Amino acid sequence: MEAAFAEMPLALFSTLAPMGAGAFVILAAAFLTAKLDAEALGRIDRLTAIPVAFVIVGFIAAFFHLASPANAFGVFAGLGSSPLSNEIAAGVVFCVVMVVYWAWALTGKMPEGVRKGLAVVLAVLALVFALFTGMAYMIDTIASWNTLAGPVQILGYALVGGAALGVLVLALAGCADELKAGSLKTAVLAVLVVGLVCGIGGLAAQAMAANGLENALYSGADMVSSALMVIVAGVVCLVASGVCDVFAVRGGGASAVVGMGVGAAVLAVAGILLMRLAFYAMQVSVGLSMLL
Amino acid sequence: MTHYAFHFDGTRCTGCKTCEMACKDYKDLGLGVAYRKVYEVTLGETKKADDGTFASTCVSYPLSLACNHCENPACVKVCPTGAMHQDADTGLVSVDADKCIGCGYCHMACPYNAPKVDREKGHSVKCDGCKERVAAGEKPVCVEACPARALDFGPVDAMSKLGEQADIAPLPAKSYTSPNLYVKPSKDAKPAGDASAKVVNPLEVM
Repeated sequence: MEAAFAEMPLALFSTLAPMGAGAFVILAAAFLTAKLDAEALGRIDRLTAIPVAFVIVGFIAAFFHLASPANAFGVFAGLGSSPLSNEIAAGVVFCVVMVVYWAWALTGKMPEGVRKGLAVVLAVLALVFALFTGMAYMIDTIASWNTLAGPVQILGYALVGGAALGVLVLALAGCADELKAGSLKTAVLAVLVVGLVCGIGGLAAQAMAANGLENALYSGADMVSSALMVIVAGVVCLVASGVCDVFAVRGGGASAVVGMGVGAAVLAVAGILLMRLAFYAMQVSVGLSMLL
Repeated sequence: MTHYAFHFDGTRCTGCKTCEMACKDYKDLGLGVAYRKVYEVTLGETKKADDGTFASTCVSYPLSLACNHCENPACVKVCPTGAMHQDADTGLVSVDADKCIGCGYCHMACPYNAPKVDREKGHSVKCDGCKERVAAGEKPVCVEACPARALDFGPVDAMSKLGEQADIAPLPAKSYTSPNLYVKPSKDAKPAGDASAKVVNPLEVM
């Protein structure tokens, strides 16, 4: 696990950025299903700063991973061939649309149709960004990562983490009643269940694959064994985050719903971060490569 | 257009690491950085018999390895900036320090442990095949330093006549990157991909 902690900037990036992006899936569901008045929309728009901050802090964390961040604008040179270039491009496209949407929404002059349309586009771009983030690790010389379980995991984390952040934004915006209304409640729970299945199932599938691999430096079984407690702790946090979300959409006092939203978000950050560290700890090369 | 390859003769190598030191000296590399490394590869087991005697099948062999300047280099394929590039004429793979962001993607992808991010320099570093020496008609300094003549370097056509393409453990199957390394294995050596052969000096080479 020690080598995995050296990848903390990337673990933070792949935790925070997909979470922030995934929150727009819940916001899109809210705009499409709930009846929100102008005041509520205004509060939601101001509180959208939370998922925006998650995305931006995630990208800043990624910069700390680079030895020469000044050359970072060159990352688009590998577009189409380098999975890392593709990931950053997907992230930048998402960020540009996110900033345009948010800035426009903050003016209070965004037409309802445009809001719904842009929110759906952002939700789709968020999922694409999450998938490309996972695909960046699909390298054919790293046998334990070269599996669709990677992108499926990140997609799951974007949905679970996004659900937590989305619920928090809506709870803080005083939309507890809208959250427990039929359609939005169903949407949140559906996102949550799909996210938990993809996130936990993806990591479990990757751990099982890594368990049977071996090279001249280490065995996958040993790596999985050393990461096992971290995986268990991550899964517990992620499931607990989902439970908080369930209580939040069941309704209750405004402060209780906010409390559940905060709990869900904190537990989601902890759970996803632990599971990302476990991912890095299970790198099994086909040859002579190890994280340092 | 002449692509170049290394040759490693496992029947001659003593594991003295002169190649590694000559490279470090020539390239003025600091502590913790080496472009050529000698892997100590060990396999087998020692068992105690009922009569109290021991029988061992343990063997060890050295493998001197640097960048193999692969025909299909994993490091070049994943590099987001194009900093890691292959010279079309010589096939030698090197780093453009002005483009490199030091993301370490090349290090992760290379199955031969060749590129590393030097955070002090701010970019990836690796063996460039002593391209300036090659351009002057000389061989890389590691090859010329080898006292046992276990290393050689030259056009792929010539080197491929001296051994099998990277077919020695702990190297991966050649199909991943088509490495320009041709090996004559020692009699104890295992073929590429055989995980029973372990690297026993990881703190030194990784």
